[in-house]
Amino acid sequence: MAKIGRIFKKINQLKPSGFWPGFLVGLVYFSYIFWWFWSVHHLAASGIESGFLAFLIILLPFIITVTGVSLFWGGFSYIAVKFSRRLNVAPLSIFIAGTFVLLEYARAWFFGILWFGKGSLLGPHWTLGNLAYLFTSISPIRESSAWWGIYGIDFLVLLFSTALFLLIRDRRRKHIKSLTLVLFFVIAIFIAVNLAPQRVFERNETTVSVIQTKKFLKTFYEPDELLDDFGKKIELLKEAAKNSEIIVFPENADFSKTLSGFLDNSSVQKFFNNLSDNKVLIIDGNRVTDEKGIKSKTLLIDSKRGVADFYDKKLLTPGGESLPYIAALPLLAFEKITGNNFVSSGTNYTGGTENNILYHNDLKVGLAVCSDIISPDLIRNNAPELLINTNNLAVFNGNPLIAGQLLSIARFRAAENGKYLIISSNFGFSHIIDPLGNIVKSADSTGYQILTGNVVLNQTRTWYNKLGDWPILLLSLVIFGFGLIKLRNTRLYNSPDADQNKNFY
Amino acid sequence: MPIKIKIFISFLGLVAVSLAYLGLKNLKIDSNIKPNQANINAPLERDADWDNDGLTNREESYWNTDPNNPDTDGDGYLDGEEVASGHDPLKPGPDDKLPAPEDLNITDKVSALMAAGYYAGDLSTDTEPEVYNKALADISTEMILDGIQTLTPNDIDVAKIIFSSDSKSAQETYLNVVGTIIQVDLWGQLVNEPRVAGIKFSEFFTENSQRVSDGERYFTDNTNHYQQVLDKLNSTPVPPSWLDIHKQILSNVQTLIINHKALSQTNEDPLKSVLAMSNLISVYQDIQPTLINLTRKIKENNLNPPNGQLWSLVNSLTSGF
Repeated sequence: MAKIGRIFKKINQLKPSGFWPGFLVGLVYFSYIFWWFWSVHHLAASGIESGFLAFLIILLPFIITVTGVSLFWGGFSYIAVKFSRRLNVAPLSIFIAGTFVLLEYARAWFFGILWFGKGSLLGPHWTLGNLAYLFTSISPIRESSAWWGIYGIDFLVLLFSTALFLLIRDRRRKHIKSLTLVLFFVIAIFIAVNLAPQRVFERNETTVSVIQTKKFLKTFYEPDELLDDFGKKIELLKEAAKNSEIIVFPENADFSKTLSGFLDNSSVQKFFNNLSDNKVLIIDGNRVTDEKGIKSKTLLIDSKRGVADFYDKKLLTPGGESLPYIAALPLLAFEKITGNNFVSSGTNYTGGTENNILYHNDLKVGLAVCSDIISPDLIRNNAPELLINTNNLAVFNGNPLIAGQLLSIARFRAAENGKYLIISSNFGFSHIIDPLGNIVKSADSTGYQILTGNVVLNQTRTWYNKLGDWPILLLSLVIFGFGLIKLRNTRLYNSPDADQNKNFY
Repeated sequence: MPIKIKIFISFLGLVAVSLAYLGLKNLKIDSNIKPNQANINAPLERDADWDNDGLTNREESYWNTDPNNPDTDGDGYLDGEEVASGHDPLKPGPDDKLPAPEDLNITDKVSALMAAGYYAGDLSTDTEPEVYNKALADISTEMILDGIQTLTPNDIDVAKIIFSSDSKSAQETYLNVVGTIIQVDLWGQLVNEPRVAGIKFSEFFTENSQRVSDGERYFTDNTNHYQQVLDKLNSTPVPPSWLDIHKQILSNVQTLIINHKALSQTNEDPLKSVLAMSNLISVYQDIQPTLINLTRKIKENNLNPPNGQLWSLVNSLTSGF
């Protein structure tokens, strides 16, 4: 323990003072968060058969990403250390919480800017690694996101942990009252929001079936593989249509597209019409190519009337669906050296421009295709009644680390918006999540199967759904502003000796 | 008369004399020029047929025949008759057969037409835009028509088809043979064909000779594969009531052969191969109605579907239709 303390002290003494502890913790934490980069195994399909080359191609973005996002934590610890010598303990804990929120919000922007490419969508979308997601299994914390989202949770968690830390370090018991008050305040606020009654505008119960698949990612499929996959999908669809009103295929299931290779338009219509005597809504993800490039297009098909609506995926995954500008030049140079053309021969995805709500009569389904779910901002829009997340984890070979992160994120999206959320997965587990973020039902394995459950459509709008992140960001900004003013005043009026008295590090 | 008016009148006179001289000079040249040189530049004359041999003056330019001589090679047949019947109008018979339509080199022909258009003045830089554009449009149309003619199979010769009977067992025997061919040799091949063919086609336009020969080999192998499929189909006895569907399948296979062959010869005729490439992509869609028609007929005739996953899948898709 003493050894660790000595190492920490040495790190803390490195210049710029206070930066390195946060940065190093960030490096460890984000290395774990982004470790799934290594599960991206489709490089052989892209023409890279050498394991060493594939290692290099993954290593560079991994290092850039982890280092880049860790800078924000380094910056946070730098500011925290700097202000710890200028502020009283209670304001300090509030200031630290506000600063962390602002830097986490900036980090969500930064990931998109760092990996910006053709078709990318800029915004505070990339919340991967946000501390709030670590508390998914603690219901009171997760459910409170309906009030203030993940940044509100970040604020309260940082406020609590800073106050606790300062209380432990406060050996002279000078600030015991104020710090205890802060701790009680945080606990009380979590209890209060969980006890607060919410008005629920429930509409009706609907039976939803997920058609979970397990189709490998390959450049070229053997005919038997395609027939096998499509045959299973047909049988599962027919089975699910017997007692479901909504059926959800995973991302890139390509059901409609494959179907149109076998049947002409009128036969396709007959096929859907014959699925059930009742109307069934089918949500089907297709990869389609038009004059602008490839689109991940999700169709909402009314079995009796044809295509009712569609959504083109907006938040393209850097590297997988859009080529980041930062990576394009080195990769093209690499191509020149190796004589490989896996970059320039790749076709680009194009992001959609329409909103992610699928409308049908009076139904409003909020759709998140794979990485769309990471963005609280995208999911919150247009007050959906039910949320659906389709994903395809084949590219990650079903890696449990990314699957686990995406599930935590999805549970938060359900809780933030107070809506049922359905996850339909290729190569992963499918789930049905209730409006509090609890997992109601899950597939028992990752193979081909149907997951059926009842969901309640509701028009309730949580405070977070109405207001988004702005209240907590504004509060954090005001706190940060006050902190800066205080810092300025302390510099002007305080004696140099005052620093020594208030040094808690 | 004031001196100023005298100068003005003298100047007018000079201009008038100059204009008269230039007019007479042009008139003189026009009257001396040879008809085929003079009139080939005139838009109205390009489509005329001075020697009434069935070829327009522009076509005479392409075939290099004499627009004032109806039988350029002097073999007793009109130039137009020879071209229409597939004979060379510049070569006296009997060995004057032109290459078969599928062997027509579209790139060479378009190049010749472009050169003819240039020498005729239609495609020279100082030509009227309307004339220039029309000449280009004519050449493009010619290229597309040639593409259709050379890359579309001829009508199926029914006389070459071996017929069986319409008994249930004969129909099911036929279905099993054809069903396997469609599942393995056509559908199975065409699953990845459009994408692989696109990649292989692009290799012709690299500077790497190894990749070019890989492309050639790929399309040649496929041509041979589809030729074998065609041979297998031709040797299969067909129940008379399945003739229409059989013709549809034969036509699909012949289209694949012709277009793959054209693609294997990309280096010799790149324009034809571009047309073949776009044809090839549409063949995948052409298989779809065959699957539906075949399944529909199986149900109408109350037959057992062919063995294989493809057929049980199509059967499952169309159940209840």
